[in-house]
Amino acid sequence: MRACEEAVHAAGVREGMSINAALALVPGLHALARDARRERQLLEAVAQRGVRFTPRVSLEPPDGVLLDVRGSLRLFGGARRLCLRLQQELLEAVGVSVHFAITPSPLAALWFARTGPLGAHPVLVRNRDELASRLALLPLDCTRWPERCIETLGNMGVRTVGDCLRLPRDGFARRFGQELLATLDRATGRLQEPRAAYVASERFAARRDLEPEIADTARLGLALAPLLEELCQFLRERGRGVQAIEVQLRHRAAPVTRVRLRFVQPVGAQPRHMAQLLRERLAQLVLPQPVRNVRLLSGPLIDLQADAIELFAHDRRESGGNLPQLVERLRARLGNDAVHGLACVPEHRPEAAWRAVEPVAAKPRSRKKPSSRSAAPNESSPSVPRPLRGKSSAARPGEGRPLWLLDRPEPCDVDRLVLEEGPECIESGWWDGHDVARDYYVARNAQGARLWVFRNRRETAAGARWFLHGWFA
Amino acid sequence: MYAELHCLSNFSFLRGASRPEELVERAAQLGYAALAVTDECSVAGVVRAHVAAREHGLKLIVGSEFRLEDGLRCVLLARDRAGYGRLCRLITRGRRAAAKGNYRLCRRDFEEIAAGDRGLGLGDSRNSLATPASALTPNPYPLSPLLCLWLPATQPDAAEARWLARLFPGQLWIAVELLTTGRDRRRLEQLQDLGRELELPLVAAGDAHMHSRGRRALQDVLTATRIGTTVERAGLALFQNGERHLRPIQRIAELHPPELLAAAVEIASRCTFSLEELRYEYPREIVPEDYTPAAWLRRLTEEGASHRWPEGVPAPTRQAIEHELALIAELEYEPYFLTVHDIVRFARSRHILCQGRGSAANSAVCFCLGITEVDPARMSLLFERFISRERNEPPDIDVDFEHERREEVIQYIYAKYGRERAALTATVISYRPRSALRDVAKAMGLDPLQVAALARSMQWWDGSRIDETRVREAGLDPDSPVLARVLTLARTLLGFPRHLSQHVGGFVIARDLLEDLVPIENASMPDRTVIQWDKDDLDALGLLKVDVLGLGMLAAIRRAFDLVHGCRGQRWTLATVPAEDPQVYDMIGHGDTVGVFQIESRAQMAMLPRLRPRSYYDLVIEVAIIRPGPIQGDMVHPYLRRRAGEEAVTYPSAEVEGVLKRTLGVPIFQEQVMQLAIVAAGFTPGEADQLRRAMAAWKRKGGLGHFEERLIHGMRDRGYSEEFARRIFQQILGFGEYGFPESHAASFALLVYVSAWLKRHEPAAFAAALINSQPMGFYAPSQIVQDAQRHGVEVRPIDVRTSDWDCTLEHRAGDSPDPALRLGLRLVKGLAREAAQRLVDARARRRGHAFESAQQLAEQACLDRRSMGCLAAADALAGLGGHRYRTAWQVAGLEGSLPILPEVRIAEGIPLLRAPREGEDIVADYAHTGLTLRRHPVAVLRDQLAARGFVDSAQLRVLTNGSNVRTAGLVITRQRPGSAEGVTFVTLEDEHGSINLIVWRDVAERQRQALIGSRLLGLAGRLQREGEVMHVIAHRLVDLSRWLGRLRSASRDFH
Repeated sequence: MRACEEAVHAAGVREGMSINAALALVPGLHALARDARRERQLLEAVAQRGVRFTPRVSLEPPDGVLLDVRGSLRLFGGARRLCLRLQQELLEAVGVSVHFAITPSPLAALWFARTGPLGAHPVLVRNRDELASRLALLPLDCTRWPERCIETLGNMGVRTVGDCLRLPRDGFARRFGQELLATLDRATGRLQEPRAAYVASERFAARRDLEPEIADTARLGLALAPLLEELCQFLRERGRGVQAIEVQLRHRAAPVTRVRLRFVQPVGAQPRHMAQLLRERLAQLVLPQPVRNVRLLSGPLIDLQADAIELFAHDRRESGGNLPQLVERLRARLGNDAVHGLACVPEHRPEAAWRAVEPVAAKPRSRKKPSSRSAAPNESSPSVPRPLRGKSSAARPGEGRPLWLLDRPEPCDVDRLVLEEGPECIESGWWDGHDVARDYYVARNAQGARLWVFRNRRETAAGARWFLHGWFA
Repeated sequence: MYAELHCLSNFSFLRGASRPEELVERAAQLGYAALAVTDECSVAGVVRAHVAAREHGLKLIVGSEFRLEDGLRCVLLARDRAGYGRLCRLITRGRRAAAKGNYRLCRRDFEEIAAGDRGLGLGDSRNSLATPASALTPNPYPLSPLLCLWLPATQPDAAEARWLARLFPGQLWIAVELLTTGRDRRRLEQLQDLGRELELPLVAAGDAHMHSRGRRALQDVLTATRIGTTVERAGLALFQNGERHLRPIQRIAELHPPELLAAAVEIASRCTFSLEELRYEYPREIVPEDYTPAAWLRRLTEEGASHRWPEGVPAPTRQAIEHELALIAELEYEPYFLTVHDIVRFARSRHILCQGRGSAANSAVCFCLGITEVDPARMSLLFERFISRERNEPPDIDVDFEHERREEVIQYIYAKYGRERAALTATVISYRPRSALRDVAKAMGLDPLQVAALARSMQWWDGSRIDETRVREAGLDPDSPVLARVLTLARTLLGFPRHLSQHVGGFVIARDLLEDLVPIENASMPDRTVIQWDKDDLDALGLLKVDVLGLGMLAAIRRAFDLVHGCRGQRWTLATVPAEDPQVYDMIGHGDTVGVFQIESRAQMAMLPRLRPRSYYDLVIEVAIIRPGPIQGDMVHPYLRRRAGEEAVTYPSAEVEGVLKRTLGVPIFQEQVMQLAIVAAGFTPGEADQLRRAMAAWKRKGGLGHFEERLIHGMRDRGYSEEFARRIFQQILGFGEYGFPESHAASFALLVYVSAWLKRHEPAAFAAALINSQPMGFYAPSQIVQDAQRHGVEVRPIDVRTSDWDCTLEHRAGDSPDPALRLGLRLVKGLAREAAQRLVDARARRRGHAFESAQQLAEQACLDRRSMGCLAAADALAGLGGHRYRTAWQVAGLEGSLPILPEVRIAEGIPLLRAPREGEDIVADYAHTGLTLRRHPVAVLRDQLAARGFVDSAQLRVLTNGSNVRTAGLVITRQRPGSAEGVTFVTLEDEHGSINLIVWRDVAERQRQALIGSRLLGLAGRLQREGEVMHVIAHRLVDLSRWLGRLRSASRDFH
């Protein structure tokens, strides 16, 4: 248990409890798993706001952000005002409320902030000389020293920072190490401490006003070229790439037209490649109004592998467009959703045995490889599902399946068919509410075509019914 | 006609989706000629199937499915007793070669089993065959007692069949299992071609995994659980359809040519083996060569008798001995008594205290043999009550040993009989509501937190029910389609076996190889083996076991005897402790029984002042009456009223009087219920025995229905009123699995008496022994120490200068004859026993010269900083270095490794550490030793509590019944017995003693946090007093824990 709502806290749930202990107190508790990535994102969001107040910001994961505001205090009208403003901004923009402490040493500020509010106002220590006496009251937990050290100190009756500061320095160092002594010194300002500055994650964004307005998509492509060149310069400088870019076209009155390009692989500084794709896409576009202004935005920057850059530079041109490029161009023309690959899903229900996937780069949906716990997996139930190669050319399970599967089985008249093979009974899928129970047959109709039909095993109101589910080639 | 020869039950864990009983019942309904239960490398389910088959008149075939390391699969069926033995050996061999739950067999194992008749299952013979079996002189019928069905792979490998054909000449069939996969016709043709080519016959089989098609969803869940994924992701690992069930013969006939069905019936008719043929044979070595078992038992009995009664055996006892020996001889039970005697004799030779109990244990013969210490003259029990000529049930003797030393006894048994002849009984670990919900929910792909919430919503007291209201309480909607599926499936899964575990101590010992009787497999504990059957299975087949159990109280009693001997020179034994001491009964009658065996629980303490036991037999009743069985059967209050003379003692007939006279007309013991069924309802002894088994199992399995009719009918016919009959039946239901046999209560009562005697006369030794035997019993060391202090025992703190690992007795200054109790180092949290022993040894080496400093102690006892830190935190160094904060500082500064020159020390200043305040000391005492000898923490807070109007427990005792009171105390236990309809019993403790709270369900639900979360609990309520028994009914609870500041007192939650 890491954090909870007030009502849950009132019921006795405390930080550090196990989920079961918390559930014992609040049976209907809605628990959410911690997400380290999102916590980090939140911390970064706080840091990004902080950058508006001072250029020197550093992260103290998991829950602290340090701002060096020495230079900005006057600018923002003093410590109190600065805190007030930052608090308000954070509430509005990030949706969090924070504990503030402003002290001459960064570590002391952290310790105060971790301890939480000591009064109505943010903790404010102006002079280094005051630090030791102000820190003295803090319980040792705020130091986040190793649990065992804090416990040993507790056994000596040492429970606050002040108790610690009263101990002989050499004796303390011998018992708990120089490192702990050094943190004490850093907190009280005896030792200076460098901090790594926080660098916000970057994206590219640029705009260009069009004067006069452009109504022709071909000219639009030309007008975007300088922005693309700028983007590529940006990427080149950083040696990184992007997997997606967005072009926003602003009109006088109509809502913004957005054109998103997604690349099959991360793309580095390749203005021509991007321009070509963009042209293809723009050509499909019908503009509601002339465009007054264009913006080019990048997705997050992605590290390029060295060979990937290489590949783009040479091989591409020579091979004259390979599969990824074909896909990109098809998508540029038909839209992102119009092109997809096919993959087999190991499933007994024919309609669930395939699905659309990202083309080319597509790997089968990563299934956690089931670990074989059984001493003897069943012969007919291989414990590791085999990836199948094609919808109809599956090794064993797909054997005898038609190439063409109807989207939805259609009722059919079995009297006019000759059943040739079967039955193959398929009963599966109860878990998602689409349980099937069918006996499949290969049948031939009067025209000599081979059909895949089934009889519903369950008696419906209309009695057992026959359906056509596919055609054999 | 058809016989299913390939069928898995749920004892093929996470594969089979039906119970053996369900399979048998279904097969009988479908008119099968026979059913083979062929679990994978196991016969764990066959006894249940056998019992069911007997009931349904179906022929059962015992077999097993195997998958060899190279992938070959086959089913082996036992044709006769020899074949069954061979099958068990093969299973044993496979199971013993792999970790618990798995097996490993290769072709060589088959060949070796085929090659000879020697014991092969257990290890060394594996390498003893120099020549491969194929080169051996051909044995005309190498594995003839076994029949084999080959299960060919999708692409059959003819070489497999050729190899099998060599091992099973004329006994091998190709199993044709057509499961409507759409390839049935091709499959049949393929196997028919193969059969022609190999000249092997074909047989139809069903690969049944369930008794009916409806178990398909559960089977999918089991498959997903087995491979560790969800049903949605299990994909093709699931079966394509539900065809693997016991199909109507009509359908099988549609799919297979008739000769394949005929072959199945023909194979079934060749298998004549029945589990009825199994006979248990006693080990030979318990009888010397020149003696018959009877003569040897008589000789040992006579020897024991002359030892027990040096002055000569009293006439009634002599009569009893003769009578018992005659009965034993008639039933040929001598070897059983001799086996138990042998084990007990070993224990006694090692000074391990033990005590037998059970149907045969409380006999004059067992007293002579030393199996029990209960003098038959102390009770007027009839041996026949315990061993019955008519019932023909095996005698039952459980022997309790000191729990810490039981392992020595177990190792003795293994050493004496060998692992191939002795093994522990299995316990089948089954799905309970929580585990069933957890596995199903996981397989259904619920979020892990939802799975936890769902599993957590089930409380143990819900028993084996899955209650939707609980699910709703957990904030989940039981009506949502997914949860509805989860609940339905989990309910079906309930009671399914999950794995075999070892029984606590049930040993089966065979005359020859045990693996010929039942397969043996590895248990999770190293060097432990278990058989594949549990005690119900053994019971059903009439096989004998000896229960070797561990009992903490025996260890405590032995320790108390040792301590008393050490300080007074007097050596007591279970048999010599003075009997029927009125002072002991006075103490018990006041409910002053903290630490006393069996009667120390709160419910027992509340009962004692009403029951006021005055004799040994009263204790026997006391032990049996405060049990869920008699409570739920509503037998307690009628008994109390009758005992107090408030209700007339009447009997509906002279026969019933004979059965119930000793318990004033109220049935209290399990045996009485059975006898009632015999005398009042006309049951035969055999039927009464079935009733007993059904009683023990009805909560788990159900099935008392037909007894109800029989019982009530029988009683009415014999002139008893309908009402009386109904009441008796209700009592039987209430007894359920909790019915307590008199034969066990009689043995336990001796330990009750002896422990109470020790508490009354040797309180210091008793308290020390209890603490030294922890963990055991109901109370923590803190309560035991406080109780001892209230009984005038001087308790001294842990001190490195005098404490041993265990608590010890010390002489008190002056001429006080009673010793003081010195707390032992075992109470120091985190201190390893080895470290403590080094300390004690180092102290002994100094021959009375005290340690000068903590530093010196650490050096001479080789104690590291961590161990020293524990001692300092426990305030055990106070005698060397001042208050605990100062010693903690000193100890933290000790050099990590031992200095080469002890004189070279780093000089450093001692800081001015303030001395701990009283409250801090108390908190630290609790934190590092679990108890304090300083003031009780509540005493420290008494002024504040008094200011808020909370009174202490001493004041409560003088208030009148019905007073409204406010009181407070540390929470010692919270209990919510299943029999008490949602009532929570809380025990509080303050400086004067304990306070018993009753919290009704509505208060508990309203104030859940205060109830569950408080360490210091305050309450307003009403005092309820009945004689000496006092409770407070809580109306309002308030959590005062924050008053304790940092006080951490150990609260034990009992479930």
